[in-house]
Amino acid sequence: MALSWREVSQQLVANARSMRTPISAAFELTSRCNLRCKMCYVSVPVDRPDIEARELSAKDWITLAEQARDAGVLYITLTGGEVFIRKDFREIYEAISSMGFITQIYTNGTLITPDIAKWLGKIPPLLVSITIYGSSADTYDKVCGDKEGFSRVLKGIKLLRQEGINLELKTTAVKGNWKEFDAIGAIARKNEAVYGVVNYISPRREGYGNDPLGERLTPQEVVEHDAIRVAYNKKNHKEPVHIANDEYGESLIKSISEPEQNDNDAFLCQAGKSGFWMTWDGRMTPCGLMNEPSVYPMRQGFNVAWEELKEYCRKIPACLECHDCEYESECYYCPARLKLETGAYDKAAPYLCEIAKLRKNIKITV
Amino acid sequence: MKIKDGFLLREIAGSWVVVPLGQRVVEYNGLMVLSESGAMLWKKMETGAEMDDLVQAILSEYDIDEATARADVEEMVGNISKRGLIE
Repeated sequence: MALSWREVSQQLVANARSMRTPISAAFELTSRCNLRCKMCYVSVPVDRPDIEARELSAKDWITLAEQARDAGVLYITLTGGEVFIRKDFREIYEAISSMGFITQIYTNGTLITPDIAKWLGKIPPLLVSITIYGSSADTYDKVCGDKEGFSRVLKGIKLLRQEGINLELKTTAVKGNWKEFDAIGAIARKNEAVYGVVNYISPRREGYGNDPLGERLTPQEVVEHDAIRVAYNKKNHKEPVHIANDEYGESLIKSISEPEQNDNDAFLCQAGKSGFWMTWDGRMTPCGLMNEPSVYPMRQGFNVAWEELKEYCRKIPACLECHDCEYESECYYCPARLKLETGAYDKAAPYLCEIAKLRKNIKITV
Repeated sequence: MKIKDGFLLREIAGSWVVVPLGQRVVEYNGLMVLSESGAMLWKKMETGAEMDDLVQAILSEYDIDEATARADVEEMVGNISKRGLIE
């Protein structure tokens, strides 16, 4: 019992991954969001009753959570869209918080009211992770299409903090905000929150109408952003900025080692081995970026669906070209990203290649 | 001795893990891993047990002497108590 809980978590995840038993789940409760971020991979406007009607009900989510718990899931991430859009979020969260999960909530923080903060403070999750898109109202206007969003997120942060809730503030580095990295970090420090950054913007998940490719940084800008982050870490001696991974709710678990990993294994993360994603309309997928493979636990039964998902994932080919590449150590490739970037799971993606190459070269020249 | 309400012992990937439920997260936001014998003691303490009951439970499951069993139980109870999980 002497290990820290983070060490314990890493060990549990490593064990689950070896045993191919689910331990981490992300529940995407809705695809709808009150902000209009062009770089989002899933967002749908709030006012879409047709989409809302297709969302799983609170009862469905609670049933799924019970089944996930019975199958061994310990870590659960509630995400969206924006979870606080759902009128029945309290019902879902209260049920889940009494089931024995370690829970985190992903939110844009703009819909937190004093009432919500007080309620959440009585049954807090391990962490509320707020994505913060800029350090001014103008940036929120530019990036999220909502000028008032900035003051609302600051208010939300303050309210949650007053209730003693653990906070992570993470930013998504895009063209409209990447030079505000230090200023956003200052907001995190002021609020004693962990600071994180999502520094890879994926093409949108199939079926959604945003334009992430138009907003994401060029490879050159990505490495310049790396340098800004490194300089920030040097100036601020506390915990280094956390590289977050929005499309996979695994920020609780920072590293996983699996001795039996082999070259034909496409997934280096938990996806389809010890983790899964539930989409707002009831499909179980390996992660938030992947529409396929998908299975249907509500229809098939949870355990049958999980076994099928694992089998699909096992058949996904690894990118050998990436594995053997001289820039591999600097590259954040994975089957989901490669599929979205190139249309194939095992084809090198020029955008990721260019970033890896620049990262490696910078290391050599520095 | 009885474990407070609002904590759940779960078997996760071959390990025994105690997690807080609902409002208990306010006082204990994290998790605790128990050994096999620790989990056995925990289950007994969920419904209430005296120190001697716990020692006997260990002696009936493991081939050790009473002094060792008592020391193990005291350590386990001390750890749980230190975390404020006992009524």
